[in-house]
Amino acid sequence: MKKSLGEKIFDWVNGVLLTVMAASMVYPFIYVLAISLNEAADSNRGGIFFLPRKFTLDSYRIVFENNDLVNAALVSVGRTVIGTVLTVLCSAMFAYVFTKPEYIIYKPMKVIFFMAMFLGGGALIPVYMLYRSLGLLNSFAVYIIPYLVNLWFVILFRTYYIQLPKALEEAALIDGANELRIFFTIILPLSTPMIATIALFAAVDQWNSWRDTLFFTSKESLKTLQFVMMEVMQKAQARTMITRAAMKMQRIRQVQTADPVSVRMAITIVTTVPIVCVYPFLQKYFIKGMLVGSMKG
Amino acid sequence: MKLEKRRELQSGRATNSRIWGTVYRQRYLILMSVPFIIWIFIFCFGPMYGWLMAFQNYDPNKGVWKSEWVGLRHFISFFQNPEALRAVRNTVAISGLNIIAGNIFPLVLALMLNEVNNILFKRTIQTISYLPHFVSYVVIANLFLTILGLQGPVNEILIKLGLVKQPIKFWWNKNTFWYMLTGVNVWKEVGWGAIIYLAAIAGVDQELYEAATVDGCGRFRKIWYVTIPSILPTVIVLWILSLGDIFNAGFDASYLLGNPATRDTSDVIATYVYRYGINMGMYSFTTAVSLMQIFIGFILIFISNTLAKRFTDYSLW
Amino acid sequence: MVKEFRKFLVIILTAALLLSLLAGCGAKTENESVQEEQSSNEQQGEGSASGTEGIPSIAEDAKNPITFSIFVGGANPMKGDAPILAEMAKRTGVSFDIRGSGGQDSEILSIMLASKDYTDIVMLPRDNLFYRYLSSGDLIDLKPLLQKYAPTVYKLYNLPQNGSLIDRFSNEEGKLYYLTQDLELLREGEEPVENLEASDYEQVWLPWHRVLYVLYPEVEEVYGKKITNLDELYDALVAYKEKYPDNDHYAMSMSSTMGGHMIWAALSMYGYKVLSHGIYGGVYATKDGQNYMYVFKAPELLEFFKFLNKLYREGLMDPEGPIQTHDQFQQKMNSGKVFSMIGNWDVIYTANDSLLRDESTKDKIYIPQKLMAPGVTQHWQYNYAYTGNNAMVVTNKCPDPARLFRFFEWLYSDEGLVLNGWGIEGEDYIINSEGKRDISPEIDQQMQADPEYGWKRGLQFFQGVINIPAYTTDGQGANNWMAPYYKSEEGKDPRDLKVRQSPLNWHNDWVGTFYKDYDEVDIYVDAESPEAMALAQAQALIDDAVSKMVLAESEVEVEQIYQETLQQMETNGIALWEKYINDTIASRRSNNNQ
Repeated sequence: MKKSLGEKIFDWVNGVLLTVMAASMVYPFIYVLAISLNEAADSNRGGIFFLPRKFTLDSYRIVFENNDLVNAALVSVGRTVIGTVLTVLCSAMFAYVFTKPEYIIYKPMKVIFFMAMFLGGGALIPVYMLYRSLGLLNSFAVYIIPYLVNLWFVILFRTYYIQLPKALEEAALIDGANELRIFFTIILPLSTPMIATIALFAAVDQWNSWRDTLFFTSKESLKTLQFVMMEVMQKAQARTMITRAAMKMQRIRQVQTADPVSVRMAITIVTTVPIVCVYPFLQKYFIKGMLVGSMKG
Repeated sequence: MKLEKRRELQSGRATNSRIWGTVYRQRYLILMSVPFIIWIFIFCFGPMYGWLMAFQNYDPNKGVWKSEWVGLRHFISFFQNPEALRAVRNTVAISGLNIIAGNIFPLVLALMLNEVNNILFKRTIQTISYLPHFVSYVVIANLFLTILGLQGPVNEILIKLGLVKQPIKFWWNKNTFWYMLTGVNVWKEVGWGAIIYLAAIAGVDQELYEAATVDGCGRFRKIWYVTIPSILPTVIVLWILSLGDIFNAGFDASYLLGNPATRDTSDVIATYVYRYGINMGMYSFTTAVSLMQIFIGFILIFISNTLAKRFTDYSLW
Repeated sequence: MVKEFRKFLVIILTAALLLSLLAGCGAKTENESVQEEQSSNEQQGEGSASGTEGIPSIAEDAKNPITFSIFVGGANPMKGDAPILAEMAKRTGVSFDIRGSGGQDSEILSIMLASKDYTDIVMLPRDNLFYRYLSSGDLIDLKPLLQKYAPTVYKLYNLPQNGSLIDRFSNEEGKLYYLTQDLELLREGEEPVENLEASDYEQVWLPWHRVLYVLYPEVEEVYGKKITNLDELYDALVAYKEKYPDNDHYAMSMSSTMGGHMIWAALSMYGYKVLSHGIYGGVYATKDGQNYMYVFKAPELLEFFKFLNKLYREGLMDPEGPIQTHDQFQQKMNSGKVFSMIGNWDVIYTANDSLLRDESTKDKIYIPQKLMAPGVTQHWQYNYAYTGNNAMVVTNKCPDPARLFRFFEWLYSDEGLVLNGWGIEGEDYIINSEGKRDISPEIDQQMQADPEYGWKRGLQFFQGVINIPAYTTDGQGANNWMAPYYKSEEGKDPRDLKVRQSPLNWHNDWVGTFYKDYDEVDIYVDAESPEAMALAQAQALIDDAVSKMVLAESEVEVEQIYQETLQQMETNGIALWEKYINDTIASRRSNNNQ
């Protein structure tokens, strides 16, 4: 199909705008990378915008010197993968039931759902007590079970399901399939873009969380990567308790007095690069038209 | 539901056997939902009694059950403080702007990306576009403060070009603060926000596009008549949900980008509570404020959902 | 729609209420049953302590390893298996499972308090939740343990020259629930480590100070002599600006969160004694030593704010000063672009360290200048009756408190002190040619190259737990900062030596400005009380008010802002808090006289 002149201009303008936008968005990473590759003490003087002034890999060395790193990485990957799969599955399944108004407890379920959405969760202390009585504290399960049903995801899934053509579902029902089978064989395959999106969101949440590690675990073996990174960052900021002893140690320079912003930047890079790389893999599920076309007939 | 009701009326009273019959018929639905309902009871309702702290002088020693009750005292004292009211006004303004911008721009970006034909270009741009989402707000704020600072590169260039005599005080102006803040937020989140819209767009029935081509629609018409209506449910749902956050203008943005010169317009509820609650363990007070935020957000969601139901076919429930 | 809404709301609220009651009842029994469990534990524990016949020696104890969990909070604390701590575990059998808080101290402390899931030992900031822990009933009385198992600790804590800390902190029933930390205790006849009257002091040995700092050698270049009052400061700033008129040099700078510190420094200049309660607490001041007021109310401040405002309007203050973040300000200080600042010592120490590390600035150093307003004859810099920011409590979860205190008694022995304060011989310190403990240049190099050296080794961990004697029994220092190396030419800061030889030598100026008065300090307000709320509100107003006053367009506006802020603080009830302070101090003084 030949493009009109208007369309060609549009394409060109579109491209330019997007490029400019992208250029501005790449920049923070360049900034962070430059500082992370700069000497710690020097980076505290500011003024680094594009290239490191005094190049060094020291900050990364500090980050990777950590013994806990390997275990923490495994824990993080574990919880991200398992947590994401289960959360997506549970949320998607639950959302499917929400598309069936004839369900016998539909109305009460709806009420419960929205009540949970607004008033659920709650303050730290009650949550801690709950996990404690459930025996979740200090276990890997505390990273998974409290996140199984994400109410936002349920709503998003449901909205997506409503849009799907009903014909396939109805045909399968007539053929005698039960809802569970329909869910797995029809609904899920049809919702791959949504699944990919929600999986991404869930994965990012799991990957980035460290507060649950902090409050609900104390075992070394349960530390996540994000948590260990946070510890490294705090350690580098050694201005922990302002004590007289610390003052004296500063005098003989046993305590890093200057906050090494370079270490903070190195951590940013180390923790965000993995998750940023997840999305390009998921992008193939966003190809338009892949679905319905293949389902025809 | 209406069908069932009619059947009931036709056959007289609903009988027990009818109910058990339905239960058996819907046994798979039950299987697919009841475990999750139980989960909700445990994990959402379980800690809910924590909200009672808002009506007490909570003391961790005594727990929720033995702490002294003070009724609405915290709510009243919140509203009596003029700074709090100012914070509320700012919160609504900032959230409002964010909700509008935060729903429009990602949508526009998704549409723009969708029109790109070169797959490599499209994927690259898209990946880059959500990078700022992952950089912490501290870094982003620092960047913007420096670049638009009195002695930053932007001002330098403007002065060199002779466009201004004095450096522009970007971050000093309390009248423009709301827009500056929204600008930074949009820039940071537009790429990430576009993801969900892209997913919705990918789910649009291709037949519709083909039909539109047959009808002689060009690109722009297709966007207007096919794409947008198809993803309208997602858009509306996201709008409604984001309204619930109207009282939740983010802490980070205000805290990092605000300063004494702009405090009148930059202080939001979250920063207000932070300033008063630092290390003083004011559980009850912060709980009360959260409760209030949620309650108002809920009212807004209810209203907008009802409106959406009335004027469109789509709504939250 | 309204009807639907109402129905909806009613359903939700009723259901919510029912559910929460259900859930809450569950939680309630949780708490109660846990408490019962604990009180029975406590009884058992006490039984075993009093049941021992003799007191085991450390060697005997070492055969029974035990681990105590200790919450120290803050950022990443030392690890319990660090080399020095591991060596201690070998010799005593006692090791520590050290828990941090990732920076969320109050949250974790609150959780522990509410759930009664305590660690054996808790380091509490003496603010905030401190009172709550004390009234929880879950803490152990430490006095009998000290008296029986750690008599040396008891004795040193209670010596008058150390502040009689046991008596001071015992409650009305004579029970002692906490021990403070961070001081170097003296035995009878020993001299203070920091002789505040000594003139060979380096800056970093002085107790905390908030004061005017200026950059040396610039101050000598442009002004040539000491700055002693605001007029002279003004002249010096003008002179600096004339010499360095470009935008990259600032005669004075500040940040948006420095208001409180600037006020402190200013009031010292006006002859006030300034004090703060707790690390997050309010600041109060007195001129006559009897009546204490909230800092912001001191009348002389208006003049000071007008002065700052004048500096700003005349271009002598960094234009971004009042609104820039602490980090931005620190970065400017670190590169020596700022000539002067009025504020807190920690900014300076960081800056001085940074300056030394860079070739272009390694001769520069920020030095303090003692300002006195006209008519003021005595400058009070600091009440150094400091008893520590944190307190150690032992909870009823501790399996063997007696053992813990036997460990502390060992820690106070020469062996324990050297291990804690110096480390492992040959690795962390050497014996020099005179037979004294010392730091060798090689070890110093190591420490300089790796600023986390102490952290990695587990050095001086217990300074953060309890007070530690200053000297070992042979008169040598108990900590490595007393190494003879640091008194030698090599070990000193070369810039400081230069300053001493210049007209700017400040080292004698501070004699007599530090004083000790225990009655004025350690005053804590219960969180969420009306006094605490009033204080929190006042604190929240101060920094902004200072910045706004600096930015004001005219003197009239400065005054207006000041009055308005003052008015708001009064409305919020700051007088309540002031009364509390005054009453507390007065009653302590009258108790002393009895």
